[in-house]
Amino acid sequence: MRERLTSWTDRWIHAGSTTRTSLGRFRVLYAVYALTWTADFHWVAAFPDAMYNPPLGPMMLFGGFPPSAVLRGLEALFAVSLVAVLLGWRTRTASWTATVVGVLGFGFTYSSGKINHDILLLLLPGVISSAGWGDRASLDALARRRAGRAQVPERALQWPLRLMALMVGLSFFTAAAPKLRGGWLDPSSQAVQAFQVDQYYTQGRTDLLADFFLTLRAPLLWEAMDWATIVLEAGMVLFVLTWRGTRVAFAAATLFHVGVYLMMNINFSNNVVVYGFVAAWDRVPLPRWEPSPAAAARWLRAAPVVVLAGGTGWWALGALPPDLDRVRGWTVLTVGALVSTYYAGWLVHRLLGRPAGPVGGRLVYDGDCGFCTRSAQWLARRRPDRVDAVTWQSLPDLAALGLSEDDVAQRAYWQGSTGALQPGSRAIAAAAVARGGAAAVGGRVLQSEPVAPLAALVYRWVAEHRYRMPGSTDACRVPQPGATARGPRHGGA
Amino acid sequence: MKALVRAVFAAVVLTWVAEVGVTAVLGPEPYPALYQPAFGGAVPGGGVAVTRQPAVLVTYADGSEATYDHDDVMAASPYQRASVFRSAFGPESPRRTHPENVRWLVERVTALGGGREPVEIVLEDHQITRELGTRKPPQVVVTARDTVDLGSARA
Repeated sequence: MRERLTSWTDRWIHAGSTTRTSLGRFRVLYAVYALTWTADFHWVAAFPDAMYNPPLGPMMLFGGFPPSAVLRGLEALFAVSLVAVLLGWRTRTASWTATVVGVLGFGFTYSSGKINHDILLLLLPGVISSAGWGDRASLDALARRRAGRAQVPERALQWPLRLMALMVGLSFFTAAAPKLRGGWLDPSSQAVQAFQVDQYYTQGRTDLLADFFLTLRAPLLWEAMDWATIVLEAGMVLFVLTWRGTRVAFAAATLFHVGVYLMMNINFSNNVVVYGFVAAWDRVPLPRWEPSPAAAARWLRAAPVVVLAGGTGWWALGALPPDLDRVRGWTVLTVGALVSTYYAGWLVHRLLGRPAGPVGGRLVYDGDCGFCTRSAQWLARRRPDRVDAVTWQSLPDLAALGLSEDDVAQRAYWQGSTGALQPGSRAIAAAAVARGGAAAVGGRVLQSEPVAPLAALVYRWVAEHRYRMPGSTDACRVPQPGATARGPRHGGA
Repeated sequence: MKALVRAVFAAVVLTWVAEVGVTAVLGPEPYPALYQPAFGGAVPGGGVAVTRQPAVLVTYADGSEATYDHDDVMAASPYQRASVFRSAFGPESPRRTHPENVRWLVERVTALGGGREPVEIVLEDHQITRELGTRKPPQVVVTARDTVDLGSARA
């Protein structure tokens, strides 16, 4: 049991197909975004130490706000490390430096009494650098080539990506839990609406669609928003268990953030950038840049100076003007929304699209069970040419299919045109796809990565309780594995 | 290597569980921690939104008066000035009477008053109840009112 659990955990942790090229490109985008982010720590030095109110954790080790010069030094170091990340120079060190300095610098500002939840954006470079985001589109890759060392494999290390996705899921859950405790699901409370009013008046968030929502009287819609928020935030930790689920959840979260921005003017573009690590940036056609050996040598020689001068120079320019900062946030949210919508469209197209190969086959079910019979006949009714529903009792030689009576008494089987067998929920999903129409959409959903494990659990539960289902008889009870099959075998269909 | 990676995952999950546990017991949110904003958590229900807003009422030596809000006083903070104000000067804040903070507040309202000397500073906390979906004037209740001891700033 323990070995199986370990093996499953390892498979889950290391599964995935993200490439180093994709991560290398994402690294560049991340660094550009983070450099334009207002990493402003020194304002907090204007407050006296008596205002120092550190959150629980390592910031309590400090007795007050550091002097402005120290905070400005951290800002400069943050910028220098991000320029190194941008160019992919000493990438892993630079990435971890950005993470540590960012967490520390913002930690001082959060010790003024308000934690801004930027933690995912700050942790990302350290975590993802372990996946190999510095191995492509980087000076490190150039140095490796120049030194004659073998290129690292194109497939990135997947565990840091899984870890990052898990961290996103866990952090979202912390947003859902207080809402659940605080009565967000109570139909008499419209929490999103109340919060929008609070933001409108207390924080002066009156732009975009805020005015429209302020006077919107639609309790059902507001209540639906309360529920949707909880579902997204609490469900994220389940969705990130698979890569398809992660992408679906990140796309949904991006559209959620866009909605929050339009309604409450709260900018979560930092989170949208974080979600970007799951996008397939390697599918974007880009010209290949291959410098000559002499140019590569020049680049590598100049790297320390470029990083240092570029970082400190950029820091000296100061924060973006507010208008440009808004444009930056808008750009990220818009691009995120477009990518998410495209992805959602692609998924729907896959769900609705025609299957690539033949879909017909044989659905083998338990003819003694009324519920199973009705279900199988429903699946076969629309396209009997594609779904051949047969009772296992009518099959002359079960063993020829590699099945025993125990197998078929416990679950249905689908035998596709290639002869391959699919059991349980996968059988039902395949039959639904073959049936076509709306059932095909349901079948594709059941086959999809995030839903399939859940569907298997539901199928198992339904199979175990099928004697309670409509049209069932006592004969529907699932026998224990190894028990003698019920009654005589049926001779015909 | 695989065992090490498993240990990293276990450490992250266990740390998160510990952080959530600490928050459940002690209340405040830790940092650094895997948290996202709870957007207010508890809600009042009954078709109203209840918010809190501070006010700083200042009487200057020349007899003039001014009222400032958290945005005015905490303008140095680029975000969530209400929370930052509450942390320093909110009715529950143990830091609100600290001489250093009082001195800073005096300097701040002096600057806001264009150099006029404050002779009295009153900190108020308002509970504002608004009916959802309307623009009706809110119901404002002063839930806390404290006169700042300016003597402590001069000590």
